[in-house]
Amino acid sequence: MIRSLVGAVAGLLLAMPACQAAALSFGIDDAPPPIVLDTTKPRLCTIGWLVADTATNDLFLARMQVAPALNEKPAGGSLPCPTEVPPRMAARALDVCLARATDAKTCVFGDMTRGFLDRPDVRNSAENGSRCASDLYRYIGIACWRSGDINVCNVGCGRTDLEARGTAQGRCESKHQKSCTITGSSEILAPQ
Amino acid sequence: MVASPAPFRKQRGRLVLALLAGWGGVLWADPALAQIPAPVLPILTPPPATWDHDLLSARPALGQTLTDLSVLTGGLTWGMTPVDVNGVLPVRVPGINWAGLASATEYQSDIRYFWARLDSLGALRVGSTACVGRNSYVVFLFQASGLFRLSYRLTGDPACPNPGAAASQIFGRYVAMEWSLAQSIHYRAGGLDIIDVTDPTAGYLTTIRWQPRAR
Repeated sequence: MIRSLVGAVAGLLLAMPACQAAALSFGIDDAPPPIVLDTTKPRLCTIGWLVADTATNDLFLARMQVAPALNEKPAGGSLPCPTEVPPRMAARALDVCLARATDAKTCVFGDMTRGFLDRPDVRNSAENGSRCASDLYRYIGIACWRSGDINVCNVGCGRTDLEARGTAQGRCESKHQKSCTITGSSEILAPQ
Repeated sequence: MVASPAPFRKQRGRLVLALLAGWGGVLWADPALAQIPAPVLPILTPPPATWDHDLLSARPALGQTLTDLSVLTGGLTWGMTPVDVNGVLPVRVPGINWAGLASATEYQSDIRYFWARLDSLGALRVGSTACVGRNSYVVFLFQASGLFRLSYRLTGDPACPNPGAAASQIFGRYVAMEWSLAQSIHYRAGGLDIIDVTDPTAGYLTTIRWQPRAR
């Protein structure tokens, strides 16, 4: 009787969670705990500019995030972007190319005017046509035609990759009256 | 000209439609035609900047460190000695020491270098997959205080006439590093695509570009 009672108590103790838990170690060699991203947090407004180095045809996406105001509310999962973009922001976007080019004169915005081929400099490229904001669009696209060694391009924004490239292609073909089949696109938001 | 009766006009319209559909189907089904790739422009993505809400000033959005550069290059970082750099390479260059290195004459100060073929450099291809000519190479440039520049010199050959795509891929990997950690520049000289990646603390050396000697 006593033996069976001891057996039952031992069985009960073994079944308790405290007996099943493994000992925890806190050694300094332990890997850090995983970082859990808050994926529901709204992303910062990001304004993207496409800028190009005509000497190498390198194309850069300059991304500028904007810190929200204290009480700013997201709409549709993203924080609103400023309606006015000051020239210093656009200048900073062009700096992304200027810093990486051997000749400052070859850095231009990605949206090029009809006179670009005659005078391929920044004055024949449009800053406001070269930017897309993340509160309205997800992708920034570009479409170009090649004239000798230079890509002549226009920029478009879109909610999808195809829409952004299609818009850019439409703008390029109507502006330059050429077939603009060289295209590219990128998400405006930087990867998290 | 006598107009066709209405039923015939309808039949002729259907025939034209069917022919057009068939031609479209052939185009769609012909793998040779369907697989003509539209040229795709690579877009390089430097790290973003974050502006304050009043749009007065900006700061880098990412917290990259020299460890990120070291991870990208398979263990290289600024200030390493020639012997240490050589020790990291998958295929060692024999007889590397400061006294035995060649002088880089485009600099006014005592700058020395050695080089290795790109196809022997595994991690230093930084994940690029596009082709390069067999004679493409990387130059490791040192000042007395150690490594301050990697210079990729990409050339074509009959198997890979244009190394431009590889140049774009390699440049793109370094463009993604903060400017304060690694200054990357892409230019062309002497028929080569050159990508210089330089220690930002190297002073006037950061501005000097390589030019091939006139023959």
